[in-house]
Amino acid sequence: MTKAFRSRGFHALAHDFRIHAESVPIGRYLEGVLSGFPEPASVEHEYLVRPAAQHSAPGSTEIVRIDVDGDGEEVVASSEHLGTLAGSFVHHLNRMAIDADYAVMCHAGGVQRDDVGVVLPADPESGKTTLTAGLVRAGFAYLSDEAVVFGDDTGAIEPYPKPLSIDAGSQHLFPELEPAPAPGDDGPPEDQWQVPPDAIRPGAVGTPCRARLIVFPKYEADAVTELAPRSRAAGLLELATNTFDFRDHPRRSLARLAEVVRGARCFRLAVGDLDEACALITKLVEDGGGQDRA
Amino acid sequence: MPELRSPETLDERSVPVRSRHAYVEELDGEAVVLDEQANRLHLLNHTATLIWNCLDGVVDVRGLALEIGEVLELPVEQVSADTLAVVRELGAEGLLEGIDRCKADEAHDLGR
Repeated sequence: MTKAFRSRGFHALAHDFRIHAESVPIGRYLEGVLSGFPEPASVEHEYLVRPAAQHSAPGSTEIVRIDVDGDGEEVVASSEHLGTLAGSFVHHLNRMAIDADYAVMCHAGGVQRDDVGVVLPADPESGKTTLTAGLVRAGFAYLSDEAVVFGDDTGAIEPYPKPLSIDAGSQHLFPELEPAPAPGDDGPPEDQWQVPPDAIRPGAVGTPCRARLIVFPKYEADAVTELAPRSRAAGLLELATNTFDFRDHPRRSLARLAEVVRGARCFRLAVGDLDEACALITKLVEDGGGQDRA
Repeated sequence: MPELRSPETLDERSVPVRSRHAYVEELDGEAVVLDEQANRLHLLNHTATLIWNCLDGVVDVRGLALEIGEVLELPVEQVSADTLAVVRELGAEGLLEGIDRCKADEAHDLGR
């Protein structure tokens, strides 16, 4: 495929890909949004960014996935605003990256300090991304704001450093992270920003590490911010219910998660104030993270 | 297929057997039980885990209560009633062979 722009390869868990673009500025913009992803050993999927077909809104851009055989394509994102297009593409990549056949994956944020991995499992709208972003800003390394992956060989966390998807309700907490408008846009999308981890701090992406703390956060407006210990068994149960496609490999997943939980301590975290929540987790790590290991 | 019994039919002379569909991970004396037939997860507290581990298909509920009472130095009558209640609960959750699953409210459906 010969186009004006050809990106480097990206490794997003089960999905290794590259993008081609007919416009160099658009290609460079998307490559920047996805810059947290490491390089893959090889590229298996190709995407093409091009002006949208005629039935789309004027000036729209679309991203199509190109069949490896070269005889088919699928539109995976389309918008007249490039920032919105990038957001749709990130959500598509999430769906492709998360695959229970690849490894046991939990719906969780993840951060790291030194060799201490902190897993933040939670349902959508529990403040996972907000807490993750706050912790990275506070000096933690970034593992993911969406999926924490326990590798099948060792159980170590494999980073999934997608761009952080910061919703409108949390954007006021991170004014310094407001993205520059995408080429051709008047401003960043209002509903959700896609923030590459290096925009928070250069070199913010973490490395494979062990989970030593499993903290179940729940944002509640006006709540007192506090940590409460949980038993490992209760933590295991909750981690399992936050595992993608658990029912596809229930026994394998439970065994792997139990192994992870045995090496960690579990807590609930009520979050009323982001800075206080970050301070509590920082103190937990500084006090010895996984000292009380099973 | 043999007919399933109600958990309420379990008494002190019953010899409960753990479901062959149960896969267990024990952590610090508590257990998470995966019911592979129903695709559900259960959390057992310390007491239930202790009893669960003793359900070997040989000892009856009364004998189990005697053993636990001796170990914990508790009155047998009290332990016996508590043990039977836990065994019936395990049966109601579908975790015992031959007992009808009739309670699902507190179990956790598997994953997203």
